[in-house]
Formats: sequence, structure tokens, C-alpha cells
Amino acid sequence: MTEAAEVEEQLGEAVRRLRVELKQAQQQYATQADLARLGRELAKIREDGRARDGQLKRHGERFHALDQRLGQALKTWEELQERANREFARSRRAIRQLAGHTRWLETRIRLDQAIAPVDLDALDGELKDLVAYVHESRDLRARLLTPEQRAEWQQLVDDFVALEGVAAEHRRAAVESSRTLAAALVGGGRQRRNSAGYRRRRRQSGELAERIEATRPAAREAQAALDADERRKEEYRTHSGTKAGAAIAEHLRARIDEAVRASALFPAWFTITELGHQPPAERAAQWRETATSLLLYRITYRVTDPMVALGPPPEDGDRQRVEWHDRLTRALRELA
Amino acid sequence: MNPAELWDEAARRQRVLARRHERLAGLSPDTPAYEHQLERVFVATDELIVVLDEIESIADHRRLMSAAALVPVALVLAAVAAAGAIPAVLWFTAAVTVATAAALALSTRWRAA
Repeated sequence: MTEAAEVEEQLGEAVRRLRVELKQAQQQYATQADLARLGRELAKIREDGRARDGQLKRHGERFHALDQRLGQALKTWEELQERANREFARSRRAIRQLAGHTRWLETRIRLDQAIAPVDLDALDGELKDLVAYVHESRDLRARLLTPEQRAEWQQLVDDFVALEGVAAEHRRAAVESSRTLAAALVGGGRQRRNSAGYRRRRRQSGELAERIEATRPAAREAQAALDADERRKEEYRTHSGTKAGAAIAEHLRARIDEAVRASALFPAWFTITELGHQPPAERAAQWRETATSLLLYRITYRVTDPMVALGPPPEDGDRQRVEWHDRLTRALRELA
Repeated sequence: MNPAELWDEAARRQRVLARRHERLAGLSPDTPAYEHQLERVFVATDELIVVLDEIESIADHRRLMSAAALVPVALVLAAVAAAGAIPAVLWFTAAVTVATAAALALSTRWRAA
């Protein structure tokens, strides 16, 4: 190897080493740049965090202030409520005292001037006849069979009729077989078939006849009950109780109007209710209709209770009365 | 009563029944007369059926007797055929005789049922 070639080889080696070093230096520089960038970002995040902490602190302070104000408001509200309750209780006591005084005055006036309350329940003259007519109509309706009772009786009658129908069919078939036997060739197939058929039909007819006789009394009773109910229904239909009811209501309305016009004293059972002594100016028509309906209810159901306007609660069986009672209770409540 | 008399009696009762039906047809239903006549029709029918049952019972008895008589005849025919005298025809006749006896006996049982 020549000297020049050795130098050239050393130079080549030096160049390769330099290239490797250059590459490592470049990589190192890139890592340092990234670290610097990350450092910057971290600093920014820390700065943002500090800003958020400041905001959070401010919000906490505001919440605390609001909480204090709310506590004060609640306390004020409770005080106000307590005061209102005291006022209401005082007002109720005052009203009770006033009502007591009014009743006392009413009693004194009645005693001093011999004022008797108007007898709203009184039945006189034409009203007596009309009420009797309505009572008659009501009694008729009360004696009508309920749909369940009617269905039960009707079922008995229908079963009996069906039984009779089947028995008649067996008897008709037996007669037919008998007629065929009268003309059939003795010993022939037709004669044998009809003999057997006749026997079977007669046996079934006999069995049914026994059942019919056993159920006949019940079926007759059921039919009689249905017929009687039908007659009563017809009687109730022709009985114009509704018209009489309207006429009575007219009388009673006039009686109430007259009592109000004359400033008459209403009876205790009347004034104890929400109707009071006089109709309220803003609901006078509603007051009059309720009073008329209440009076009509008392007369229709013969309620004579001196204290309880509607008398005892009606039984569940009388649907019409229960509905009327409920309607009146609601109407009285609405007047309060 | 012998069978001939029974047949005459059945015919007489059929005539009675037919007359009663004619009378029933001339009556209006749901009347007491109709009900009464209907009852008479049923009585006449019951009486006719008694005679018809008797006739049928005699016929059944005869059928059973015939069936019982046919069985030995079939056996004799079968024996002769077995002996080899006139083979084919006698076998066939014996089979027909047994079938007839069975049919008679079965028809009697069926009627009784």
C-alpha cells in the first residue's frame, strides 16, 4: 500500500466518523428542542391552573354570600308564616264569637218579638197534593224490580219455556212415529225403526214432563213477578211524578223568594249550612237553586231533621237519592 | 195367540191407530179434546207395539232355530266332502250353510240390541 492510499483511507475513515457524530448531534438537538417546547406548554398550563383557582375562589365566596342571604330569607318567611297563622287563629276566634253573638241576638229578637222562623218544610194546599203524588211516584219506583232481579226471574221463565219446547219436540216426533206405525208393513225395517224411535221419544218426553212439573211453580211465580213488575213500570211511566216535582220546585222557589223578600228568619237547619241567612250578592241565583233543591230533597225524602239539612246519609241501594245527596253536598260546599 | 192371529191383531190395532190419528188431525191443538185424543193415540200405539214386539220375538226365535238347524247340516256336508265323495261343490255348500246360520244368528242379536 502506498502512502497516498493510506492517507486517503484515513481521510475516508475520518469523514465517516464525522458523519456519525453529526447525526448524533442533530438527534440531540431535536430532543432538546422538544423539551424546551414541553417546558413552555407546562408553564402555560400552570398559569391557567392558577387563573382557574382564582375563579373558583371567587365563586365559592359568592356562593357563601348567597347561602347566607337565603338563610335570612327563610327565617323571615317562617316569621311571616307564624304571624299569619296567629292572625288567622285570631280571625277564626273573632268569627266564632261574632257568630255566637249573632245567634244570641237572633234568639233574643225571636223571644222579644215572637218571631218564628219560616216553615220551609210546611206542606199545605196544592203543595200537599203534589208532594203526595211525588211520594206515590217514588214508592212505585222503589217497588220496581232491579235489573238483576228481572234477569233472574226472566232466566227462570226462559229455562221453563225452553224445557217445554224440547218436550213438545219429542212429543211431536213420537206422534210422527206413531202415524208411520199405523201404516207400516209389520216386521219391516221401517216398522222396527219407528217402534224404536217412538219408544225413545216417549221415554224422553216422559222424563221432561216430570222436570216440567217440578219447575212449573217456580216458573209461574217468576212470570207473575215479571207481569206485576211490567204493570208497575207502566203505572210509573204514566204517573207524571217528574212534572209534579217541577211544580213543587216552583212552589218552593217562590216560598224561598218570599222569605228573602220579607227578610224572614230561616230555620236552624237552613242557616247552619253554607246557605246562611241571606243569599250572597254575587251568587244569588246559585244560592236560590241550591236552597230550592235542598228543600225539595227534604220534602221528597221526608227529611224532618231540625239540625242536619240533608238528614242521615242515604243507603247505597237508592242510587237516585245518593246522587242527589252528593250533588247537594257539592253545591253547598261551592257556596262556602 | 198363534202367529197368524198375532198378525191379524197387529193389523186390527194398526187400523184403530190410524182412525185415532185421523180424529186427532181434525182437532185443534192446545185444546182439552186434542190432549185427550193424543193420549188415546199414544195408548193405541203402545198396544200396537206390544203386539209388534211379540211378532218380532217369534220371528227372532224362528231365526235362531233355523240357524241352529243349519249348523249340523253344514257339518255333515263338510264331513262328506272330507271323505272325498264330491269334493269342491260340497265344500262350497257347507261354507254357504255356515255363513247363512251365522247371518241368521247375528241378525237376531242385532234386532234384540
